[in-house]
Amino acid sequence: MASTLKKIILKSCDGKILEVEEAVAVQSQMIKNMIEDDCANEEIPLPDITGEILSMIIEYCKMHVDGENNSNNELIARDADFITRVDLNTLYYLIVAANFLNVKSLLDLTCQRVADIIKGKSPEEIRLTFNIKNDFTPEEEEEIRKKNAWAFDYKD
Amino acid sequence: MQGLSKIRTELPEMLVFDILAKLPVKSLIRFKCVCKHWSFSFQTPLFITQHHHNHLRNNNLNFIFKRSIGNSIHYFNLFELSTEDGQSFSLKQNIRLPLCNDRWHNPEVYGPCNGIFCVESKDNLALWNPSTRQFRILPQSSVQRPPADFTRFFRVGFGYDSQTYDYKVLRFVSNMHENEYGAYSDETEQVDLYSLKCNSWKEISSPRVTAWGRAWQDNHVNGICYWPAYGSNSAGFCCILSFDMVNGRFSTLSLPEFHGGFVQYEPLLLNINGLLGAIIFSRSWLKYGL
Repeated sequence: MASTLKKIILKSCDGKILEVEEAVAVQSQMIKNMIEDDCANEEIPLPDITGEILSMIIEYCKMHVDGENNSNNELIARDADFITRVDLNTLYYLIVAANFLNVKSLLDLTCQRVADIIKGKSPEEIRLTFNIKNDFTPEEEEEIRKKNAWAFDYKD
Repeated sequence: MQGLSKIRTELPEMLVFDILAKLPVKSLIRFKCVCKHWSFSFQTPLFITQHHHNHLRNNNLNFIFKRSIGNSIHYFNLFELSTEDGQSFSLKQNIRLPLCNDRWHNPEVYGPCNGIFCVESKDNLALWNPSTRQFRILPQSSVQRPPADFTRFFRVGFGYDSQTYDYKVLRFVSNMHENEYGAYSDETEQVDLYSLKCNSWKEISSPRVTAWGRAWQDNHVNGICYWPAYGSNSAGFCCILSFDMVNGRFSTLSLPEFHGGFVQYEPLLLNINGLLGAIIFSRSWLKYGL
């Protein structure tokens, strides 16, 4: 019997072509919708996702398909292992891509990882990272700090 | 922990807020002074709901309160139960409650409802959010009272109206007269309802039965408060009284029947995993059942 698994062809913005098994590709709700609408027979161009980021997303989706029968704790451990290897800047690209491809669990995982990294930071560091201009007057900012002094205790 | 660097890619605002909604409350409060837009956005119902939803899923909200009295300062110790074994617990924070300054008087706590508690101490009421440490003392009721020798406040109901995004507090009031023997009798009952949005009280019509219940229990299920109730002629409990925070009406339900009945047992109504449950305990304090 010549039964072959259906492959979906994805093309990154830097021209990398990746062949993905359908079961893995449908982890992306966007691709799933395209398959259902019969729009996934030719290569799918992904204009804002690089080959490197796309490979990581496919690795993540593959891990979830392969681990379907694993316990919840095993999946959480694998997710943690996957996400702690990623640096902050790559995380942002992953977030944008997971949002575009609509991979809900990866979006949750990446956002939570960024939240865990930034939770202990100061407002100044946050402004710098997110490129935000402080529009409070020094007096207004002091007022907020005074009112919420307990939140500026960085012990935990 | 890795250092922070400036983001090289432009993260859409929606995704930035997806990240922020996963932060602990303490970080959010600190980040209120990042910019005015963030400070404002953290207070919108949409963000609050998203944050609450994320944290319900990620955390087991197991905690214990203990009242402790220091040198004339009263604290509530908030202990967090360990999620690993469910047995041990550690001190999370000491919280000072401005309302509770009398060492001989025990405050009563109702809730939580979406993480918010209602605290009652010597007829004063306050809403308390332990996560943000916000404490708001409610104004005194402006409802007119009939002439009486003594006004007693009892039974509090605290809940959330999901239609108007409003927290409401309901309080039963009893106006009593002293008779010739010095005892209080001839009660006239009133019910006061507070709305956090309006920050004011109004009177609503009383039910025909009298609510009973204890504090330190959560009797609020899906926007409805429940109490065991007794009528003027009945010796024991006659029904379950409920108050719907959305439509502002009282209703009654019949009590479940069981061997022994409410002559021998007292019910404690409470929210058990989103359903109305009852713990029944013997009036002789010897037996209890669920």
